[in-house]
Amino acid sequence: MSEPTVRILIFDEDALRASVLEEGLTAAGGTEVTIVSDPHGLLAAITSADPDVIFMDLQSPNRDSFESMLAVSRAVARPIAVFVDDGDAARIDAAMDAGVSAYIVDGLKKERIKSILDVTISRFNAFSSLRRELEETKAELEDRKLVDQAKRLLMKRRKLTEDQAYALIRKTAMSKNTKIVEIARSMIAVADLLGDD
Amino acid sequence: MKPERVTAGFIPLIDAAPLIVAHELGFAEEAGIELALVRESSWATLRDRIAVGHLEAAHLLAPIAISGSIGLPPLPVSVIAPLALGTGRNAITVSLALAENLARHGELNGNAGLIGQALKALADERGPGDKVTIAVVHPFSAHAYFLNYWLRGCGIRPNEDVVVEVLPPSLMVDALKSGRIDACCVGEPWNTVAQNEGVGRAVVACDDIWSANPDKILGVRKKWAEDHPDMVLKIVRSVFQAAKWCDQSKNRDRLIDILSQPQYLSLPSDQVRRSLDEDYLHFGQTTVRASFARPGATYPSAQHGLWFYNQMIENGQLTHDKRNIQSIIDMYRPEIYREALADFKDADGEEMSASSTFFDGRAFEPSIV
Repeated sequence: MSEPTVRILIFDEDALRASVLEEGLTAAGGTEVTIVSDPHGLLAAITSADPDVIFMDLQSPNRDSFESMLAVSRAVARPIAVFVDDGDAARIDAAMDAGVSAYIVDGLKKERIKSILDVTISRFNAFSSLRRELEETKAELEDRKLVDQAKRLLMKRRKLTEDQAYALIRKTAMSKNTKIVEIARSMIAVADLLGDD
Repeated sequence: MKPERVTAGFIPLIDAAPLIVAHELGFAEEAGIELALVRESSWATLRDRIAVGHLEAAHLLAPIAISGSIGLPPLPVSVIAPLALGTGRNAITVSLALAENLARHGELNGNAGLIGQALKALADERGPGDKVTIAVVHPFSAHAYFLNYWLRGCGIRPNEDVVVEVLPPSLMVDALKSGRIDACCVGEPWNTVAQNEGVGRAVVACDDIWSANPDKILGVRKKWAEDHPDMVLKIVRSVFQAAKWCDQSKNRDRLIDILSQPQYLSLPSDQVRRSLDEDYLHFGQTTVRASFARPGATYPSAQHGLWFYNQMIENGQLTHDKRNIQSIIDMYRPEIYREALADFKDADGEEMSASSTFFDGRAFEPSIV
């Protein structure tokens, strides 16, 4: 590795995403990554890590505080937002769409920045879809629990088998043009009201 | 004719109301604009999105637009200011603990000068080991300059006798509650929310520090504005009409309904109501003159910009360069404002700053540095 190590600081209050990003950037090689999740420790971390590149969540309300710290920090000589270097509009758009804001300290080689930024963007995007999947899975699980509970109500009250109970809920949902889980939710609410389980 | 689409960004604050209402009540649509609004959580992100062309316009802190126009890091951005926003809704709110301590040194219902004296006495008593911490919303903000001007005028050295730090508006109330900060200088609704939740007391209206008290602009990306001069006129007209609508008391309930919505301020409607209530925040003899379109309030005056520029130098944020003056004068565009509002008798381009005064008795003298 003939190129000098690039020091990267990641400020992300989402510690999980930060570690996903760290993993990607470390794997890319030639990097030294520092993660900060707590805004209180940020100034000290900037000073001691003396980063070449800083990444943070574009949506964080703490961006303004962060920029004010950069302005007072002598360690980081006037970093600039990466968007200044606008030779590459597509990459800038990709970064903002992914929710990444980046600050580059002068002097770092352009090509190196590009590859590091690309890794960051793809990790941010990968994390977003992971989180989306996780949320969907969670929601599905919740729905399934409700439907199971509704089935048990029917099995007990109407002496149905599990399959029959499910078929009845499904038929009702279809005839009312609504979702199975909504029927289940209504059934549970009514059962709660009647105090009968 | 199909309306042209304009995307504008805002930070959830009361003074974004004219922009929000221009969209919600169709003032923009009537003018032939499809106004799409984007809420952001930091000024930095609004600035970036204008710079890269995601936004054509934004509700912006005037000093950020100035620093971008001058080309200061972290991101130079060229915008023009054809309309001012945000006049008269800023205040200094102290935590209840600080209020109690200040009350030992003076009358909290006094004017800005007297409260400053109490703060000076308290800072002297507490000494360098236990400095009072005051948060502002951005290093390049009218709030930072109002606060520092007031502190200096009362013999308090910012960053030496007290700590001045930056926090986003939405986190101010929590920071007051947790004791992380002792005071803040912020725009509405946050002073009202702090007071309403019993964690702070608004003691100084920024109107009392400088009666003109301009703080934001409607920033429009310069390149886009040059390519779409008619659209800029339409935007200015519709946002001005919306500002006047916001000021009419018969529209108050509707305004509260709109601003409370999750995509805008996302606050309970009683908080928004109190924030708009002219009588809620009292400061001694002064009541916040809450108005979106009071005479001169929307006039984009380069004189304001020059005052901010002087404060930037005073605060060590930049060194003077003659070219900067020209950048600022070029950024404020009163001629667009006048042309857009030629039909409105009450938008006569009055310079509110011309007769304005400061808390220390000085008159506003627009001077070139």
